[in-house]
Amino acid sequence: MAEWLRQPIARRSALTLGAGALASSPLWAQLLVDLGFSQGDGRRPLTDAFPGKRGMILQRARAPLLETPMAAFDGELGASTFTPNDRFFVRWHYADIPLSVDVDAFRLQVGGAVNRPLSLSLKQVQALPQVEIAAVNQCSGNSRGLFGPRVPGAQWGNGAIGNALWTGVRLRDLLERAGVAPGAVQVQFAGLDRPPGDAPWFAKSLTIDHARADEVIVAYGMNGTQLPLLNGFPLRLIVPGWFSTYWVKALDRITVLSAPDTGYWMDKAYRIPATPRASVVPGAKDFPTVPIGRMLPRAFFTRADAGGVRGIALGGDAGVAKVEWSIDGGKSWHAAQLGHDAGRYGFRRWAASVPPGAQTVAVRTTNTSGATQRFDPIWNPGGYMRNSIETMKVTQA
Amino acid sequence: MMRRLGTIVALAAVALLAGCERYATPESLRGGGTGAPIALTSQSITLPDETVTLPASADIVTVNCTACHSPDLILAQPKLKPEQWQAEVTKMRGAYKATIDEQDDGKIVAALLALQK
Ligand code: HEC
Repeated sequence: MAEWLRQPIARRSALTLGAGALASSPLWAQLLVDLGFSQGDGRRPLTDAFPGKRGMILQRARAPLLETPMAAFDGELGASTFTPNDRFFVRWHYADIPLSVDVDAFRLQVGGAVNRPLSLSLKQVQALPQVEIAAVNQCSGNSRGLFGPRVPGAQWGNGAIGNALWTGVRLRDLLERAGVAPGAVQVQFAGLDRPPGDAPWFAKSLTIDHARADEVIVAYGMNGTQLPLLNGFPLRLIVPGWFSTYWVKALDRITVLSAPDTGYWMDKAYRIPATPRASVVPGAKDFPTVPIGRMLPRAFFTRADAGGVRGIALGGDAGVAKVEWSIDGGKSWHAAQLGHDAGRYGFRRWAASVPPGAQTVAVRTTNTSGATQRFDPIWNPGGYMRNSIETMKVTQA
Repeated sequence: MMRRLGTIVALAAVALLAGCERYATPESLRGGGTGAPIALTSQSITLPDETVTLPASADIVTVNCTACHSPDLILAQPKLKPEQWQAEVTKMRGAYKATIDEQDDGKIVAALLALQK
């Protein structure tokens, strides 16, 4: 059996933590999950201790990194594809995060290369035309713990991802009100989190054309209600089809730039090899890099039982065209059933009945641009952009 | 990279807020979008206490490496080679301006390796 077939991706079980089983496990975390990493190092506590969150995999207490268990995404084909706010993953870089936001005092600044700098209250933001879009938010390093050879960083399983219905205003409408000056090349975004000491501020930038695209919004709503503080209340940038690093949380500063952003978080961090699939030979150094950007298609398992296998899929920066399954290592593929289409940037549910017996099921998504998934894993030193085909061992009666 | 979004359609002017028109995606209409305005109210939270600590034998790591992030991040790393740990220490100093005395690097790397035994 090929190595990829043996990847213990599906070994995720909640075990009761025996007294003293893991000395370093916080007292407020009572269950463990096993993310199935190669060195037997995938055990993590499950926690209800973070405000507005329940049943989250604790990756780091400070700054909070909370992962969504795959079971939280499970549902019938016809079920909603939206991830509940209290199960949505959490990812902050710096420990100094906003723990309190006064909605009357909050202001969104739009400045830099603009004709009329703005300082907008939330009421003024909400007075702009309201738009809604379903979109998947996925951490650039989602699935990093499954890289081989392993790389340092947050050791996420597959759950640094979620899909929500985002409500807000178009970034373009805000930029138009400020009046973009000639010569603008990028737009930079920063939020209420603060770096320790002299570390660089967290800020990310999009090209001016991307910033003006229809689907890029400044959201104040997540699944019909305000965002949890841990997910970026009161405003969050939504960049459908692109990795989460650009979805700046607690967004309070939009700066139009007339020269490219050379800050640490664009110039040094979140960069991927400028190669197909962002992949280089393990251990490679000194290759050309580009900032990470668009997402790739993926399919995940959320459940396997006597009724078959099912899960969720995303197209990346395009819609899900099809999801297929294979039980012969990819020699033949069969169409899975698809759930309803909540828009090109959202999750799509899939389900399949597989023949009786014990087998390894592989599942892959092809998106509407024709991009698909492959078995062979990618590698890069940042542990970014994994999208190789997921497999699961199942026994059908 | 200007990209089209064929899916956003204008909804016949449903005034939600004074003088505010509403756009929605077809998916929001099917996917449970309420169409109601989103009420924003002030929020305040307290994070849980941290309980993970490193053993006394790793004091030098506790002292140098837990000011900016909790030590569970360090315990969660896969087995790293000495040069990979050294690269992390160097990165903390260079990228995030950690004030770690270079003379302590050897001891810190040794303690990090011992934590992974
Ligand atoms: C001045 C603050 C600071 C200090 C001190 C510090 N770190 Fe970090 N460390 C960071 C930041 C910021 C990150 C990135 C966090 C994120 O992306 O969520 C990080 C990330 C890491 C990571 C994840 C991999 C990576 O490179 O992003 C490891 C491992 C790590 N630190 C180890 C250490 C060790 C070991 C020490 C002590 C020698 C240390 N840190 C001291 C700020 C610091």
